[in-house]
Formats: sequence, structure tokens, C-alpha cells
Amino acid sequence: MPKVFNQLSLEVEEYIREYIAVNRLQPGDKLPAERTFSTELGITRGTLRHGLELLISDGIIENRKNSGYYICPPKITRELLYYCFPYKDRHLIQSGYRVTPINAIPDRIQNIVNNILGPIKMEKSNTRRHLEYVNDTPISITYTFQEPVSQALIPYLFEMDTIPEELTVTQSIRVIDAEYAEPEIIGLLKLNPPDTLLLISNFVHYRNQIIGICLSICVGTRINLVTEIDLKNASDGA
Amino acid sequence: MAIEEKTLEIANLIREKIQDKTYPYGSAIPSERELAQYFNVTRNLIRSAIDSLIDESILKRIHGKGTYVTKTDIDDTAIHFKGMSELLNEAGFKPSSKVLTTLTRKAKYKYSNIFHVGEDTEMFQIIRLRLGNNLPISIENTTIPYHSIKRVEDIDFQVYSLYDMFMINGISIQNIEHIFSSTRIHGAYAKLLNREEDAPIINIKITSFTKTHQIAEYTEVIVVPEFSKYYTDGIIKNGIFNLTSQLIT
Repeated sequence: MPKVFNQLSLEVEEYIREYIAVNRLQPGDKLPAERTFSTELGITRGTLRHGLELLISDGIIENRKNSGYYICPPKITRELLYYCFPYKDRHLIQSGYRVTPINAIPDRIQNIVNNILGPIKMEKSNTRRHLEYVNDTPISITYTFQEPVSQALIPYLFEMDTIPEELTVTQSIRVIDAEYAEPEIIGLLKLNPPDTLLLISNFVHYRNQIIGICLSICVGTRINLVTEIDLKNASDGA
Repeated sequence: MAIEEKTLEIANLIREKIQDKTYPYGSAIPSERELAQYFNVTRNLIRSAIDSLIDESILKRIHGKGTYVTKTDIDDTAIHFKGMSELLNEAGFKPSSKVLTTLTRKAKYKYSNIFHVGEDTEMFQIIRLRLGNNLPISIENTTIPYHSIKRVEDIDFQVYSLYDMFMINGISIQNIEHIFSSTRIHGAYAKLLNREEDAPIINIKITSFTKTHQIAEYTEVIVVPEFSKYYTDGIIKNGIFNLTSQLIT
């Protein structure tokens, strides 16, 4: 059986994660110098850097130019089930979730909504644009659109803290290249080069019609989107 | 007798020998040459009979090893994404997987935390590349407690799925936790998935729990953008989230 090529980097990654936990390093704390780890592990600095790279890509540490490696804030856990109804996500609220209104709206968001609702309904939609934070860390920019006709039936769909039973939500997660994100978005989210973005789309259906769209550009390196599936429910629901 | 009829007859004779356990589950059937002699027919005929049984997922041909009797053709993604193979097939991608490595290792810090076991606990790890029509889809890195499956190191994971092994060892999974996030891909993994160095990619951490809340396995997946919908798309109904790939029966 061939040896896994990335095995050594994975071992380095595990070792440093353990080092961070055992030494109770806090966000903003600095890791020891590369030399210290490479000597301790008996590996070259090149190999060590491959391991560190994995931690940087995962948003665990950041590399500050000419200074060293620093611990990032812990990743925020968010329930996929309540992604477009965040006030229902108790854990998120307790972590210090807050929003501020913004103006910027990227073309890619406009295009998706335009394609689904058409220009007239989009114009008349109840639209919300928010930058979402947990404490002082921006985690995502979320846009919600509720098409006009449904507003009489379910006013303020995306401000509710429960999902009405008769609604079905379809959801997708895609990775988007942060390099192609608009400068305004990069600025609002305070993105660093290693950060990666996810586009989380939620479409709210009522009687086979899409009445609401929630599109979110979310910093994947700062967030864990969690869901638990009960296999019994899965087979019953089919 | 027409060739097709003769092929069908031979296929049925082989099938009978599998059913009466002359060729038991998990073993290799005799070589084409031996079978040709035994049934007194040409090797070409044996080969097409075997091909038809492979199509039915009763046999599996392992390059350089022989043809094996398998119970199911359920791919291991079925543990996490029940209908994934079917969804891929529908989209015209014939799914397959390739074992990159298997290893036995100590839990150490990482897996002792995930499985709530001592750091010296033996674990078994299997890393696989998943393909659809030979296009790379994902890399799955699965870890299980070494002792949960009998003689796990002897199992040929090109032939048998972990799913089969869970069934045989009486492990039934009740709940699955998925954690979605994003990262960048480097080195050998980038090459295997045909991505550029440092390309952004979705990663998924999956933990499967048994009825008694034991952790049966833990898997880390990285999936290329073109195929991520099979792993991430979901539906929320009556306050319950489900992955689309779970809802296929």
C-alpha cells in the first residue's frame, strides 16, 4: 500500500492542534517559532510549513508577515436548519450574534434573484441586507428577498423566529473564489488572503412557488455549519 | 442454441453456486480458464457470463486479483448519503472509488477527542478517492475504532465496503452529524482532485452515531465544486433538515 503523500503534513497539523490545546493558547496568542517545532519533530521547515498551511486554510491560525503565526478566534457554530431564521438559532444568539444594515449588493446576488423572481417582483420585494457579526468578527453578508404577493399572507417572513409549517426550504452550499469577490465585500468582511467564502442559498417555497430567497456570502474559514440527520426521519420523509 | 441463451445459462449456473455457497461471499470464484474447462465452453462465453453478473453487482472484478463474490454494491457513501450513487448514475456519472491508503494508528490527541477514547486506543483509517466516470469527485478520510470490525486489516476495501462490514459486525447507524466549512487544497490532494494548488474547496466533517450513542466512524471529506451539490444540497420540511441525497430510496 503506498504511503499517503499528505500523511506527514496531517501529522504536523495534529501535533500543532494538540500543542494549542494543551498549552491553552488563546485567540491572538503567538505560536513558537518554526525552528522550535521543526527541531522538536525532527522535520525540515518545508515539511513543517505544509502542516501549518493546513491550519491556515482551516482558519485555525494566521500568518502575519515578518512576525509569526497567531491563533485565530474559534470557529462559530451555526445551525444549517435555521440559517435564514437566525433568531431561532439559540447557540448562535448566545455566541453574540448581531447584524448591521449595509448597502452593497453584488451582481451575482442580484442576478440569482432576478433569474428566479423576475425584475418586477424583485423590485417590489421586501429586501434586507445585513452584515452579520459574532462579537466583533464579521461572519457573513446575508440578503433576503420576500416577493410582494406573499407579504400579505406571511408578513416579514425572514424576521420570524419560527418557520411556518406549510413552508419548505431548499438549501445549497457552494464554494466561491474570494479573489473574485467585490472589493466592497472583501472590505466589509475584513477578508484576509487565506480566507475562503461559501455561498449559502435558501429558497422558501409555499405551494410550489418561491416566496422568499435568502442568499448569504459567508466566510467558511470562520464558521462551522452544523446539521444532524436522524436516519429514521430520513427514511420516513422519503 | 444461441450464444446469448448459452451465456444466460452459464451465468445462472454460476449464480446457483454463489447461492449454495460453493463460492461464498468474500471469496474469489475460479479463473475463467478453470470455469471454461469445468462447464466445457469457451472462455469468451465465461467472460460474458461473468460480465453480466458483474452488472448485477453479484461479482466484482479486481484488477490483478480475480473476480470476487460481493453481497451488495452499496458504496460507502451510502452510510452518509444514502442515494448518492443513484443521483450520480442519474446524472450520467458512473461512480467508483479508489483506496489511496489504509493504516492502523493510535488515536492520539485528535481522535481521542472525537471518539472520547484514550490516546493509545488503536484506530483504523482508510483514505479514498471517489470518482465519477473517472473524474475526481472527492477525497474521503474515514477513521473507525480498530476493534469495532473483526480483522479489519485483512479486509480488501477495493472489494468490500465499510458499509458491508458495519452490517456484518452488527453496527447500525442512527444519527449523522455533518459540519460544512471551507478550506484550501494543497499538494498531493490538489493533484488527485485535479485542482490548482491553494484552490478553495468545501470540506465536510461527518460523525456517525449508533443507537447507543457510540461513535461508529468519523469521516473528513473534501469535494470539488462541480460535485458539491451531491454532498451539500438539502431540504427543510416540518422543521427537519435532510440532505437531498438522503431522501432517495
